Amino acid sequence: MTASHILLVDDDVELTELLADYLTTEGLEISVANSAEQALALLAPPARFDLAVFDIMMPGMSGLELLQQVRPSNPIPVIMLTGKGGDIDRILGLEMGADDYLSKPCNPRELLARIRAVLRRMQTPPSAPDTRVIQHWGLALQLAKRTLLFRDTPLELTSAEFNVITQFMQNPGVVLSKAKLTERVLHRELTAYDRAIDVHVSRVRQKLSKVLPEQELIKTVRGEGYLFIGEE
Amino acid sequence: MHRFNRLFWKIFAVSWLASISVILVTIIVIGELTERSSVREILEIRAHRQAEKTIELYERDPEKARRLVYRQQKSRHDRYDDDHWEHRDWDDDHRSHRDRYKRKPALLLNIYTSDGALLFGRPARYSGDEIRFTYTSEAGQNYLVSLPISPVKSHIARLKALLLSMQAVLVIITATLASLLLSWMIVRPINRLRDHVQQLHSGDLSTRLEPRLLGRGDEIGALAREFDYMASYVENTLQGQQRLLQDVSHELRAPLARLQAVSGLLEQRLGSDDKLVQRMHTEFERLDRLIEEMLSLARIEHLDSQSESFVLSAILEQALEDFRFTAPNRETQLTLDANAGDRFAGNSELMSRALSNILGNILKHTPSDSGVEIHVKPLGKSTAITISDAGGGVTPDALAHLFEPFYRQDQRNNGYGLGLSIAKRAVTRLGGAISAENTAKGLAVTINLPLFAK
Repeated sequence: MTASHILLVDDDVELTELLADYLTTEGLEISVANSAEQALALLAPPARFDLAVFDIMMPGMSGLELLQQVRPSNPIPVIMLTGKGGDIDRILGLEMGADDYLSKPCNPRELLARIRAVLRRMQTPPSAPDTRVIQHWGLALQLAKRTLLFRDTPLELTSAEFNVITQFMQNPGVVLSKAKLTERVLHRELTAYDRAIDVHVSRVRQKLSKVLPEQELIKTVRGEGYLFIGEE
Repeated sequence: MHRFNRLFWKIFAVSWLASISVILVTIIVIGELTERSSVREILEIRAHRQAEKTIELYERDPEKARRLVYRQQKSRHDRYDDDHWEHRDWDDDHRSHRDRYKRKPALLLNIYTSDGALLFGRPARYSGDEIRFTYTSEAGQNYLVSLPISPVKSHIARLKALLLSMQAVLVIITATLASLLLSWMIVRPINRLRDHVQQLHSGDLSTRLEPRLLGRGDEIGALAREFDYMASYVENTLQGQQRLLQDVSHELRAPLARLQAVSGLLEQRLGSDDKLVQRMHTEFERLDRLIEEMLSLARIEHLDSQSESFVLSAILEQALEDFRFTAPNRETQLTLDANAGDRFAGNSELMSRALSNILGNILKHTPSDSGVEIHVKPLGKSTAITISDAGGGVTPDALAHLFEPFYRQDQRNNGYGLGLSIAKRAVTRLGGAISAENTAKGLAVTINLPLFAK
């Protein structure tokens, strides 16, 4: 198995050098961009990266704007480095749809763990292609093709969002805790003040409400988690 | 009605009393001067007429005259006795019966003959003012007539009449209106200033006084301009400090991130079991938290606290969830009084920051197995959120300084950092208040939030 190719985008040249050093030692192949423009050039086809890490706060084009430019044409998994002191709440508001979030400054070990979790999620090959199609409320979840159809029209979902809706539609009427969802969707453990799973659930909810505005399919159960309402 | 506060009524009372007394004194003095002469004139005319009648009657029939005088004197005592008014001897005819009631009683004249013998009246004991004149009868006899007048009595009577008259009512109304106007003119701009200073105090440093107040040419205008100048000065100074704090914290983050990357490289070489590496991580966490807190404090000032609202119970649940996640073995209990408000005005982030910092403080400073209780109950026009721990509380000295940044009880201790200062700042920006007290078990921090006005 070849080393995964990671694109590291941060305006701090020295930091990217050190992190590249660290991550290379851990067996990853690292490319570095020190501005959003540089990153866009590197991401242009035919480039093939397995994952990108974007710093939110960069002079000129920010990490959030970069993500907007990249998506949805490029489905590359993205980890966002957010600033301390409330950035995560702002991102919750913007509903950007990165695959995971990590606050900066962070322990490089933590960054490595997140990168591996996302890669694991991406690389999990469907061992025996699951041909089941799960249906609720006119939604058809095709597990083998990893698509969600509403009345034969596919909904655009990121990989993490697809995992979220899969968890919900496979367990209708069951309260899923944030810890369990984080484990199953993001393939890592929930940490303190971790809102990443909430971002994903919120995005899925928003997309579902566009096609089924009259029905709130995913309910928040305070203090416990989330619940998908099954069809009676 | 805060408008009618004490200063307002003080000014009102003083000016009301002053104007009432000035008006009353003026009326009395002027009235005295003008009325004294006119009353005298009227009395003189009446005395002349009465003397003429009495003397002419006396010269014709002394006995009849005596009876008349006797009746006159009697009628002064019981002037409403109808019988006396039936007699027409001394009365002008053609007057209706009703009119006679209004007629003034006869005067008590002292009439002397030209040689000084008292003919009618009483011997003169009165030494005050009197009207004196000589009357010559048709028969050519000279008589001396005197009428004592008592100025004191008429003075009091006039005052009494004045107090009950329409004039007095007008005087009181005018004085009241003038005093209200004066009080209002002085107190209103002062109230404006006070409201403005309150606004400044509540954290809105960018508010400036209205041009109407600033444009005044008087002392209040000058005071208002000084206030505005001071507010700009304070705002600039505070903003400068905050910007510095924010910039410093921000600039610290880049080297800290690099340092952490270096520590990761060191860890790769020395192994994650190395004690120095572990110690380094612990210190990084501290530094990290401190910078986060400093940025958090700066950020609170910039959050919009006006236009939004939040659901308290949801934020409490979220905060407790984070708390339970960090400390799964601690007991948590949330009691929500059904009558307490649940939706409040303000930015939800301010509230969640206040809560997470109070709970974070409990995590840091209480035994790792002690629990936390949150009670939400109505308190007058606000809702009280009390967060109690079982950590044994703090010393009274510490209690007084708990919300100050970096306050530490003793030098060895880690100090309270910025957590509770952030909580206080956030609650203040929400228009609420925060306080702390020791309970039997530990420390209880109470947040009072004003009820959502809608």
